[in-house]
Amino acid sequence: MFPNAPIHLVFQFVRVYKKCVVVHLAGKSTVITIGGLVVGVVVGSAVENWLHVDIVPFFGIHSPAVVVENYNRKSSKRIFLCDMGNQLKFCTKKRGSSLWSLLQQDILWLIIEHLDFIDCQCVSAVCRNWRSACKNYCTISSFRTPDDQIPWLMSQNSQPNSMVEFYRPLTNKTHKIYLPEIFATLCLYSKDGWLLLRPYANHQLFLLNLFTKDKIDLPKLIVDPKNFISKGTFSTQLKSPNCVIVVANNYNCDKGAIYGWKTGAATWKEYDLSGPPVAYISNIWLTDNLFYYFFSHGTKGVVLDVDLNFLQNILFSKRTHVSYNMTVCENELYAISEDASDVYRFDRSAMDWVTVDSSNLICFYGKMFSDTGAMIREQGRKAHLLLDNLISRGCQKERREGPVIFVYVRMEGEHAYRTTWIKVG
Amino acid sequence: MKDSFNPSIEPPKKTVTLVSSDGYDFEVEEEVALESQVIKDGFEDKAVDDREYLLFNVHSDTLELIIKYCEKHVSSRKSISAAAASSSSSNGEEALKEWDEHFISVDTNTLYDILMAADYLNIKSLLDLAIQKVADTIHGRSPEQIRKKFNIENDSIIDPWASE
Repeated sequence: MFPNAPIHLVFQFVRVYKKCVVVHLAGKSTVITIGGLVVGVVVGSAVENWLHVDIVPFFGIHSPAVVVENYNRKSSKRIFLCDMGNQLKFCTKKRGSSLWSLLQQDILWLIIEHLDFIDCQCVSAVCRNWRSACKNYCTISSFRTPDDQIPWLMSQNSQPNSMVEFYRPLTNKTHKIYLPEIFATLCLYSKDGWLLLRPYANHQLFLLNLFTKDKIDLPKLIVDPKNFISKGTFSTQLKSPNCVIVVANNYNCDKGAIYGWKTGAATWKEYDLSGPPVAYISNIWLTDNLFYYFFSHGTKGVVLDVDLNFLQNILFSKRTHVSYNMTVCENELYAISEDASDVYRFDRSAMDWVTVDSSNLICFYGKMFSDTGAMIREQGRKAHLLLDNLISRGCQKERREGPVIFVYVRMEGEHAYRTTWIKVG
Repeated sequence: MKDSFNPSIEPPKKTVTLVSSDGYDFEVEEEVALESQVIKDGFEDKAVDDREYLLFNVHSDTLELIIKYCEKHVSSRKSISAAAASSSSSNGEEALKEWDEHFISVDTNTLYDILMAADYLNIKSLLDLAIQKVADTIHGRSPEQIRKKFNIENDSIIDPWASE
């Protein structure tokens, strides 16, 4: 229920405080004074009447309401002598709209704990009280970020200072955020809400969290001017990036290098590529502290550790082709032939491709950057609903039959939008 | 046969009186009232004939629901533990969950009253249930939809993650 200690303590505090106030509600013969509050009440002299004084927290307003009750023991009829003051009138009057907007902060926090980032953003936009509760919550804890398996579709406009649009297939909603950092950059990889971004103009790579807007500037990368950063990936630990690896090569495919960075490092490590390993990079994959690099039309591979030390070569028995699309799904690497007739999974123990059952696989690709695609395994009717939503959003379903369904993003060339699939989970 | 007693005659149950904000008395069994942590906390210190609780924040309509909830939970807890003792399989917990879900399917005004009462009386399971219900209601809705659903007036705030 309570994800971390500080918030738990705050809750405890609030609860204890409240308990102090509420606990003695009962008790006809109890007269209570709390924390310097002195309540003086003058009562009539009726002998059989009992006096009751109490302090009650009311609707989040912790100023005490003094309630005097004149109580006749013999009869079950109770008469409240004291009018509960403005507060009672206040709540009757407010009934017209509702009391939800006055919800006390500790209860709102309990609700926020059950919500993800997007919902919290909506909650904070509902009214002032809710907004301040969200704001205060941020200071003691962080919102739960979405962990959708289905990637989000990011649309960037080429105009500076424009909003970035995110389409979330799970809820079929589009969210617009102001993210100036993202302008004129290329997203190399995304994971857990983080984006690895490369500016068009330079090699000053950085990581940006979509939800917290945290930014990690990576050390300046010194790359041979003839080389071009074509691929990039990173791994995360506790949803925070801990290792980034990028590949730079030139167009002639005879020179290149792999660069690796780990949290806290001031510079990039370099692994020089020359000769055959540079040719026709098909994909890279970073998982469980191992870095896989596939080249020569995906027929060969190299395994490195995260410090870029050479571990082994891989030679595949099955001949995948450069046109094969490689993508990760459920922490497994898959290669899919262009016509979707062959789907392979990379078996890490055998270091080879194995044919897999490809039913229920849904692939998300952009037309230009196929390697930034994603794939999910979806079952049943939910998938159909999802696909219908995507098609209505302008995605194309490329395969109407067969095991794999490809969803391509429609290029909106005339508006100069660029779309990328973002993995948030 | 004089010594034998009739097992169907139980000792009279101890009761507690709960008084709603609008002055209605509710006589409930002790263990039902003890579902509320607030009542439980000072319970033993009070004289037996003085077990009366004035709940200024709980209207009789809401108190009725709260008592219904507590009674259901006390009785199903008993039947679940009885089923466990006789090691017969039971789906009591599932049934209770279903009952809870049905119980909390109320309009937002009633939900508010239940939420406030559960918080005030410190009935944790009911508070969790109500909180979850509110969270589920909020989930996936835009700020405007949330306002409409909960009947909240818009005091004009710009939406940071505008949705459409």
